[in-house]
Order: sequence, then C-alpha cells, then structure tokens
Amino acid sequence: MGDSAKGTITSLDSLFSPEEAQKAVRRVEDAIADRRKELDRLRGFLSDNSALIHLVRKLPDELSHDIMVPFGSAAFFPGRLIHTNEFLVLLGEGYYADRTAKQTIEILQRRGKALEAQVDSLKVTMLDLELESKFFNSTAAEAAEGLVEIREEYMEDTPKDVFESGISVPNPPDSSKEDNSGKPDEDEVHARIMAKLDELEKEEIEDGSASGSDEDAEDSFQSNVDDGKNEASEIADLSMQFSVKAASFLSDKEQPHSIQKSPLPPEPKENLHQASVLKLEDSSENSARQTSKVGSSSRRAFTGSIVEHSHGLASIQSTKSTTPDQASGSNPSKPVSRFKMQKGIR
Amino acid sequence: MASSPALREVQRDLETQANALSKLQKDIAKNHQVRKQYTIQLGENELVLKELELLNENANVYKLIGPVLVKQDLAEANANVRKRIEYISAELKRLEGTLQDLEDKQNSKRDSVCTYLSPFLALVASRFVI
Repeated sequence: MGDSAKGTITSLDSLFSPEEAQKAVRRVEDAIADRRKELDRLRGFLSDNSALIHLVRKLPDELSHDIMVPFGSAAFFPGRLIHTNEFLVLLGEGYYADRTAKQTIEILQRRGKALEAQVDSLKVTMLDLELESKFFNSTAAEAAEGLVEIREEYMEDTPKDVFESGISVPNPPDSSKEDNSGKPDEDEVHARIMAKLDELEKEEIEDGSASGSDEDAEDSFQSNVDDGKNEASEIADLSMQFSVKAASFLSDKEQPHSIQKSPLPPEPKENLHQASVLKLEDSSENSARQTSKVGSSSRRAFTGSIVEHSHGLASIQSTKSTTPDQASGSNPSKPVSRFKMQKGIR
Repeated sequence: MASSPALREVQRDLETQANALSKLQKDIAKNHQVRKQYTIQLGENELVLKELELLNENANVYKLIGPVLVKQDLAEANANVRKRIEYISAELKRLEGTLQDLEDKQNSKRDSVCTYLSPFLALVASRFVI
C-alpha cells in the first residue's frame, strides 16, 4: 500500500496566507463592531420605550400637570398639561392616531416586543460573526504555525484492501467489541485446554504402556477412540467450513475478519457464519454424546469442551490454509501505523 | 522611464477594466444601501398596518403631510399602507434582481481584469529583469 501515493499533503500556509486570514479577521471584526453599534442603538430605543411607557402610565393619574413648555430650542415657559388621557400617537410613516393612555401603553408594549425581537436576531447574528472571526483567527494561527492539510482518497469499493492497509481504526464499536471480547478469549482458552489435554493423553499413554493392564489399555484405547472421533469431527467441521465457504464468498472473508478482530458485521454474513457454527455444534454434540458413553466421567468435561471448540480451531486452520495472503497481509501494517507515519512526515 | 507602446497599451486596457470594475462595485454598494432603507421602511409599514388593524372603526387617524396633520379615514389609511407595502415589496424584488445582475457582471469583470493583469505583470517583470 503506497501511503504517499494515495494521500496529498498541502501546507495550510499555501492555501491561506496568514496575512489574508488576518485581513478576514479584521473584516469580520468590523462587521461585529457595526452590529454592536446597532445593538446599542436598539437598546437605547428599548430603554426610551420603557421610560415612555412609565410616563404614559402616570400621566392620567392627575387631571393636569404643571410643566415647563419648550419654546423653540432656547427657552421654556411655564404651562399646564391638560387632557392627560388623550394622546396623539405616531404609528410610523406619518400616520397618527388619537389614543387613550391605556391604548397608548398597549401600542408601546407591542413596539417594545418588536424591538426585543430585533435585538435577539441581532445577537444571534453577532454570535455567528464572532464564531466566524474565531475560526479565521485559528486559521491564521495554524497557517502561521505551518500546519499541513492531509487529504486521502476514500476507497469504498475495496473493503479488503482498506482492511489490509489498516484503516480499520474507525470501526463500528459494538461489533468490534463483540469480536474482541469473544473470539480471542475463546481461542486462548481453547489453546490452553488443548495443551492440557495433550499432557493428559501423554500421561495416559505412558501409564498404559507401563502397567499394561487391561483396564488401562481399554482406557487408552477409548481415549484413542475419542481422539479419532474428535479428529473425525474436526475433519467434518473443516469440510463443512469449506462447503460453507464454497457456498458464499462473503463468508470466506468474514472468517478471517472475525479472527483478526475486525468487524464488518452485515447480517447475511453473520447468518452464514452462525449457520455454520450451528451445524458444527450439532455434530460436536453428537460426538460428545458418543464419547460420554464410552469415556470416563472425569474426562467428560474435557472431551465436551474440545469438541465444542474444535470449530474454532478448524476455522483458524482453514483460514490459514485458505487465505494465507490475507492473514499475512493484515499483519505488517497495523491500524495505527498509517496515521502515525503521516504525522511523522510533518 | 520610457515605457514601450505595448506596455502602455496593456496598462490602458487594465485601467479601463479596473475602472469598470470599481464602478460596478460602487453600484452594488449603492444597491445594498437602498435595499437596506427599503427593508427598514417595509418593517415600519408592517408595524403601522398591524396597529391600524387593531384600531377601532371610529378612531381618529391623521396623516402628517408636510407641516400639517390631515385627518384621514381609517379604511383609506389602511388601504394606503397596504399599497405602500406592496410597492416596497415589488421594489425590493426588483433591487434583488439588479443586484444579481450586477454581481454577475462584477464576477465576469473581475475575471477579465485578471486576464489583463497577468500579461501586464509579465511585461513589467520582463522590463525589470532585463
């Protein structure tokens, strides 16, 4: 897998020069300043409006008010405000309406609401702009730092290749967990049991040859029979696996994947896999029953577990024999390496 | 510095193109300004319409015409405001169309300026290198 051939590395500096990014930041900040001015203006309107509401509410409390009437821009003269419950309200666009104090307050409150809506929308815009300026700022900083952009083609049509080159990092988590927790443990346990069993068998054979008693001979014979049966069942399992593989190319891929802790859990494959396991368990159960008839009670658990696990062994063997290239191909480039390599380049 | 006639010609072309581009940009800015104004007016008129609809039948409505307040029929005022809103909306749509047009023109003009710019720069560079 040629990593360098697939990905392209562009320095951020060449795409956005720091000066340009700074210019963009300045521009956005200007826009933000404009909005802030507008917001201040609207806030001023709002406070004026609430003050006016307060005044209009109080005016009709008295029949008349002593006030200073402005005369031009220079002078005031004392006067009296009468008709305190009559207002000529400017509705906008040169339209006026005669209103009572109560109605006026209603109008003013509606106006206040409209203003608040405007303030809210302005705030949202400002937030947006601030985020934008932050983004430009970070871009400028990154460009100045000399960050690079890495682009890679995403190969969707060849999942096998992708898997082998080790881009299986973003795996679907649930299935990978399943495989991680299930299969390797099973394999480990299986290997341990097999080792233990080998030891026991050796002991038995030695015992048998040393004592030469009929019972022991029979015992060893039985164990031999058991072995033979196990082997037979294994062979049967193998052939079954092969037939399953022959039946579907997908399952052939599924097998190594499941062993190598890789997910790719589409249902049809799973079903096939499960079907094969089911069949295998069927056969293993049969052989287990046969062996339990002949075998001693102390060894029953072992024989049972061997046979149960034989399909796991079979699958390992079969995958190793059938798809050696896949098994070897997955090893050299582990999932992490690719990313790290490119990080190392920079 | 005696500039060659070729250089002078390219420079003149470039200048005319750049001038056209800046004129277009000015137009676009003006369009934005006008549109902003109309949008504000539209908002105001909608507010007025809402208030007028909330008024009673027999409420007194006046219109400020020049220095005088002229009493108006409520229905008439209502109709007037509606008409005004319609007009402003139409105007806004028209301005939108012109803006689109202007931006298209601006983009093409910018491209042409770029095409003029590169030979010009090449010429200048060649003069300074030699």
